[in-house]
Amino acid sequence: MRWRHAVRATFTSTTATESSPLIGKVISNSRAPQIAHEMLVEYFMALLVIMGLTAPVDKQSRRSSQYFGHLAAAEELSNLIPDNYDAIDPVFDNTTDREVIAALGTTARLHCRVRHLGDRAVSWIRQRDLHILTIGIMTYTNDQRFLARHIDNSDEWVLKIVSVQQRDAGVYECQVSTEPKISLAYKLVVVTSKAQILANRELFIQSGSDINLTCIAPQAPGPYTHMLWHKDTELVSDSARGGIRVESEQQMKTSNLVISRVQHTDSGNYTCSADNSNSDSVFVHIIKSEQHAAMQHELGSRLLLPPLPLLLLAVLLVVLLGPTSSLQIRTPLSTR
Amino acid sequence: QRVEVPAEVIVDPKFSSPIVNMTAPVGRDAFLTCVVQDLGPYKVAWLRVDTQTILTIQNHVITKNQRIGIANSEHKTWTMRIKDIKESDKGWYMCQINTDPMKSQMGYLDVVVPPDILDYPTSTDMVVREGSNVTLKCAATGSPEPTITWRRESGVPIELATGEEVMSIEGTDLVIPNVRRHHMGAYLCIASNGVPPSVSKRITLVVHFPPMITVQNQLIGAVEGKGVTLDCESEAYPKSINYWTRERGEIVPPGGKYSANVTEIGGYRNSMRLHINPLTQAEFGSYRCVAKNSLGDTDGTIKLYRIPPNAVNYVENFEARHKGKKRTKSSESHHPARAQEHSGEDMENPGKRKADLSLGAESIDSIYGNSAAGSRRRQDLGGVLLLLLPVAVAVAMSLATAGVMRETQMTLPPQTLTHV
Repeated sequence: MRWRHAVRATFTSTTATESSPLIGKVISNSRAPQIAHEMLVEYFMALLVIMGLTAPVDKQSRRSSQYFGHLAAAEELSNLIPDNYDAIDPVFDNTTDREVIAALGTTARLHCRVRHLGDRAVSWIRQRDLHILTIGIMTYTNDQRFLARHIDNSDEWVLKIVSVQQRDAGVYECQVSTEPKISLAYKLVVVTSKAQILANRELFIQSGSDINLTCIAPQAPGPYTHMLWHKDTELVSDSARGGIRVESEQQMKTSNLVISRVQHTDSGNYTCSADNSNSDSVFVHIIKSEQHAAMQHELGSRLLLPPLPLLLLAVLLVVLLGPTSSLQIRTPLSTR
Repeated sequence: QRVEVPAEVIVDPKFSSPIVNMTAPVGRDAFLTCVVQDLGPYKVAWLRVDTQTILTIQNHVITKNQRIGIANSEHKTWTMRIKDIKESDKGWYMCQINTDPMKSQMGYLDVVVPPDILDYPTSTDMVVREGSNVTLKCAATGSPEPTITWRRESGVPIELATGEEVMSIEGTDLVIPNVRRHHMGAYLCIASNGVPPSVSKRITLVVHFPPMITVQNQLIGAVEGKGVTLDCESEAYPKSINYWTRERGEIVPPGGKYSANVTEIGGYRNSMRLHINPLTQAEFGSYRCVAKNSLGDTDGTIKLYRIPPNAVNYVENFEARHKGKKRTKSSESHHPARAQEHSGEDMENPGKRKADLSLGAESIDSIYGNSAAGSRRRQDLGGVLLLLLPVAVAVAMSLATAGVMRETQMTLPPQTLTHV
């Protein structure tokens, strides 16, 4: 009985002890938000007062600026943007040929077009060794074969290479000095082109005959090739004497020279030349009339020869056919 | 015909010395110098090799990169300057003279970047269960590539998988297989690449494990009328709640002749002590020290028996004989003990038994909640302090301006004045 009572007392005191932390917890939870809220309100009110008081010193403008603070801020922002700000970036015109074929010893031109250049510079660089060639219209390299060409107010900047050499073949870069740079690569191909006359180096033509010379330049660069004929140092034309005709196909890179009934005065060195190509020459010799008569005689003697073999054949046939027929008749009779 | 030779003789220019390579940290200025002899009418240019960009020609900066500058001394020393260098500035630069053929030489600019630890995939603080495998990761950027070194805070050695202990270990991954409680603590990932400052990140490894109880003396004899102290040690993480119970599971009430306290020994170890003074017949019997956390609970049993006052010599001899005994109990074996406890209950009062169990549960939860509330209170105080500082400054400023207001005789809305 006494023990049971002691147990009850223990439970009661434990319960009382446990409840007190809960009460404390509730108080602390409710108190903190209220304190924070009051402080925040006071903080923001103080900030508003300070902002109002930092207006300009002028009494009149001070009142108005409190109401038009946004306008003042906008004005300040506009002052930060400079009027001459160049926002357009340069851009390449990609329609120019990026691969240029030039014949050895000729002049090559690389065309670079840039729009909205502004205050940037256009430069040409040889990519092989990073050699700077030109900047703007100034030539930097001391290789005098490289030149810059530009017409004022145009978008085109040209690199001109005079007397192209085989070592000039490679990639060239048109560069604009933006940050980072923009550039366009060009490829220069150097070809060795040579016109070719389809004939022996020396021709011997009978007087009164016709001459037909054909010249081709298949490797000449470009879609069309203009070809010319020279006799010694003079351009061949119809006006020199009648009976001369030049037929050229620029697209086929072919040219024919036809001279009718050659005379002794037609002897000479004939040269064919084509654009961006080396020329070719043949020497024509006109043979005199005596040689002409001798050749006719030879032809005549040849005409007499054919009949004789035919006669011999006829005789042989008659001789061979006779004995054969008689032998065949006798053989059947002897067997009977 | 004879061509007249010009009086002036132009000598071919040449480089006096090679360009000295430079190493600079990001954000600083870098200089590359080209020394030319007998420049004459020729021109010197600087280019960026890998991007093939023209930078300068003579004294003119061609590029629109604002960070590029050029200076020369007597047309001999041509120094190109790059301000506020970036990592992308690293590379080869060419100095070129426009002779035919042109002459050039190159110099290298190396840009170094101090190390910086990446938030991903670097590990954050980890909470793991004891016995699991842990891999701490650390990744860093920098130029040159930084070396990662792991250390533990306060000079604690790192235990390797082989059981060996080292003060530091290199590598992006720190692998701890079968993590134990003594691995718990702060680990430092240190990234360094020779470019100051080195950086480090602190990663806390928390190891959770259920409570464990160690009892030094399981059988204690005491003389009636005098005091006695019962002692247990517990290990647990998260921190456990510790209390004492009697044979029937009733919690020993604090106050009166009972005095209980829990002392923290180490990071996760506690010492539990129960003082009973004075001893009467009712206090003798079994006591149980209990530790409980979210992962489990366990207990240890100490039996307190009565010694007659006239057997002093026997008591001393008995204590010496049993002093070395230890008993360790884990949470898995707790349920069989509880079952035994139930069988000991008085079968005549089933209703009373239910009441006892429910009351015990409530008391445990309330004690656990109390510590949580304590930590919340600290956070609230910190928040209030943060708010106080700017508000105090604002109030002080407003008071000062209030003085200025009186001098200028400006009037403000009365509502504002009231608040100030």
